Amino acid sequence: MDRHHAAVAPRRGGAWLALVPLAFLGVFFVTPVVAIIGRGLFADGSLDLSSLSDVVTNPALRHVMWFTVWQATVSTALTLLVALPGAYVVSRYEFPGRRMVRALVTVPFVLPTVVVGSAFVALLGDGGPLGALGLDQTVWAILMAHAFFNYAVVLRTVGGLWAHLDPHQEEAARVLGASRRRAFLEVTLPALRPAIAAAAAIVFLFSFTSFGVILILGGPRFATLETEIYRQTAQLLNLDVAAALTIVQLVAVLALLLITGRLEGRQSVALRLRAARDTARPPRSARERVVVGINLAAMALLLGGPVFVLIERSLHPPGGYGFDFYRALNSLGDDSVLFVSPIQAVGTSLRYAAVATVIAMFVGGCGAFALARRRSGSLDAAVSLPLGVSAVTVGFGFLIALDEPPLDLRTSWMLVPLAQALIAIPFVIRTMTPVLRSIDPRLREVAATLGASPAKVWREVDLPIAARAGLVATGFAFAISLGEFGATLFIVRADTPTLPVEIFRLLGRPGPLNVGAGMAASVLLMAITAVAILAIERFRVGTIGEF
Amino acid sequence: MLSVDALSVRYGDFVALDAVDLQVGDGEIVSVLGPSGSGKSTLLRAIAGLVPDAQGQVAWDGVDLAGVATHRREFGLMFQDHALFPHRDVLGNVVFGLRMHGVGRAEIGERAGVTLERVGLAGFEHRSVAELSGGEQQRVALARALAPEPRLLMLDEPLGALDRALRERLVGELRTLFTALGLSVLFVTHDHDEAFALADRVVVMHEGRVAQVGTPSEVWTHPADAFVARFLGWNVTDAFGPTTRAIRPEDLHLDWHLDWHLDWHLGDVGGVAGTVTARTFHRDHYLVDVTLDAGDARGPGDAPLRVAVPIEQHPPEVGDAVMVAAAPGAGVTVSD
Repeated sequence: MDRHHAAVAPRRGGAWLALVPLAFLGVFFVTPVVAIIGRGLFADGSLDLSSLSDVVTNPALRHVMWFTVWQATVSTALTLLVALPGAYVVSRYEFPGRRMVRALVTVPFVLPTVVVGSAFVALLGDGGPLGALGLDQTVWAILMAHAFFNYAVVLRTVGGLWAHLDPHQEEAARVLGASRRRAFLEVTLPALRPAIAAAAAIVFLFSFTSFGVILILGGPRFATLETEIYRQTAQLLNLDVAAALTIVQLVAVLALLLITGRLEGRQSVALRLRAARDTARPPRSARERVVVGINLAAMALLLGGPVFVLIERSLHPPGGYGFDFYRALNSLGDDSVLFVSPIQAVGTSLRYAAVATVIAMFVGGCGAFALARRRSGSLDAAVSLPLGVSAVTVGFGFLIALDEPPLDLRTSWMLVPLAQALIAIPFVIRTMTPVLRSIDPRLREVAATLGASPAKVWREVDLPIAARAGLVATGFAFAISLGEFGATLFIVRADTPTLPVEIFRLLGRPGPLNVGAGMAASVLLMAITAVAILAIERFRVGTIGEF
Repeated sequence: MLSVDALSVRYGDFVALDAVDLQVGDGEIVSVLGPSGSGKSTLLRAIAGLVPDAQGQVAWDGVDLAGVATHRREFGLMFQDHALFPHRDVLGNVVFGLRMHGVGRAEIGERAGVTLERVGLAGFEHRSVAELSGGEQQRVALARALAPEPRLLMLDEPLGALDRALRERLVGELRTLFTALGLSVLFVTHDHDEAFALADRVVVMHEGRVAQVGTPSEVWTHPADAFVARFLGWNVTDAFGPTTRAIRPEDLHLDWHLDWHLDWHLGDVGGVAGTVTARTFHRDHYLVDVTLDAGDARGPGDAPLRVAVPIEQHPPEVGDAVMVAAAPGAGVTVSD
């Protein structure tokens, strides 16, 4: 037995690697969720559904639930409407700067939500170029911001598949007598349907759990489950109601995650896929050039417009262009109401994000290696759970669970980086695992036949490929931690706010200087995030590891 | 020399290799020939030490290699679709084995240059492997396997992914290269033309077992059993005598002129009657498939007889009634 055992097969051991993410999730995710459930469903040690039924029957809260679903549905429809033509253009046509467009379109998705919020405040609010339309503080502001934010989800999910669909199939339909329209409806659309459904489910989920955008743009008039949980906690100190609302939210999100998982699973039907470079071609007819041009212009307006206006207004204090708002970032702290200057918040944010990135890379890296070694659906599901669960749930859970022995982190600054890491870990795993899995086992075998010992095989084959994926994941984890708002808002100490929290405060304070400084701080945050994200695009190995 | 003794590999209930014996002498080129699923690739992987629970013995110069890990066996293996390292350029792929063997920097450069020259890729050092054509990738894979000077070079369908014209050219180049280097080579293929052209000795495999071993001419003239005969494109039939015989299409003759009835009745032609069901053109001859009429020596439903008709003759059309006759003494008796 085992006479020809070779040591080149990827070592099947290493199950302990999975223990790291599982233990982390157990302490920092399951414990808070259990605490929420305990708070919402139990009173004095026995099951008590009264606060839950109060919440479900309260007309005001029922309206909140209805609005949450409504705005998510309309946001999804609006996003699909504007982004599907864009997906077509980017995946089917070759034009100068296509790669750049693909990269830039992703920027809104990775922008911190407070930056998205303040960009739309800049665009639609007082003194903004669209201020006269009176859209500020209306539901339209929310819907537009969601379309802006989620455009990339549709473009990447649907466009990603579209770019790999064999154009010969549509051509075969045309040869068999189908009109251009029929060929699209009967051949291309059915092939794309799983991707469209998956993208729609993700956009719905993101809109459903949207927090920062609604808090900033919705004002007091529009509340979703997320913002209501925050209001009940922070303003009304009504923790039982908040817990009951969180349970409703948790159930809804779990159901959505299940549906999303189903739809994503169906996406992997056997389609004959082609390398993307074989399917795109330059626009040839005048009509095609017009289609490409219109879509690129729409992308520039929808995605570039708010960002451009944000930058422009941050540089435009009353009385002409200048850096007054940026100077204010340093001086505003002298004001007694603000404990710290925004520039100090930048330092806090960078420090927290760095710590969170280290944690996320360690925990997520262990998870990715464990997952790459064995396909485990349950482990897969477990580690991606926080991806969909809202940041508000995490923040609220941290607030009520980690404030008493044995784990009293209430006064520890570590609380914020831990929450940020928890939110970043699923992204790390989803970025790294496919790359690790995609390593052709024969590369290891051929390295062994060329004389590489198992350790050298790992160093020469696995590590160089994993290292690039690791860099990408590091950039993502850093950007996510830096921009994290929902969870941080619950648990951050008032005297050490992070930059997103500081931006939220500034935008909520009266006076053009505060709003202007908020915009300047948003530009700063956007710039730091953009550097991290552009570094990602630089290191990305092909398109493996997209999500 | 390589000697393989009673090598067996099982995957669950499936027997991939069943007690295979095989030798490759020093400087000998041996080809393993068989249809897909016959265990050829598993054989190479087991010899390389890549199959964890293979049973039986693999030995080099009489030394058992049990317990010797892949990277210490000094056997090169070239995969069918090359498995080039995507994160390294051409030179990075070629020098990989030299680096693993701790060859000095100066010598690495020199040997890599010689190897690239040898496979016709001088000047390709810093190209990305992803942008090479299939033929160029195949050459890089070959150079990578050759560079550390393995004591045995194994190739899995080395020309499988290439187009026909390129394949035919490379067969000649490979034979010249292997002979010039005095390499011991074991390669697998499903293409008998390739096997016969390249190899000193051919091993035909069938369902995990060795069906026949011999020189190309031995195998081609005396297939050991019905499977080998059919695999080589021979007819296996009992239409021409008491025993089952394997007969090449070239050794069957057709008579389809109007007077064949006359010949038949005069007893000049020993043959069987049938109908042409297919006809294909192959450079210097046609291949004509004849389904024998019911009630003849062979029952209907058997595979049609395939007959080669020289291009100089006008071949029969599909649907024509013909007589098929075997040349006297043609074919070999085989067991089914």
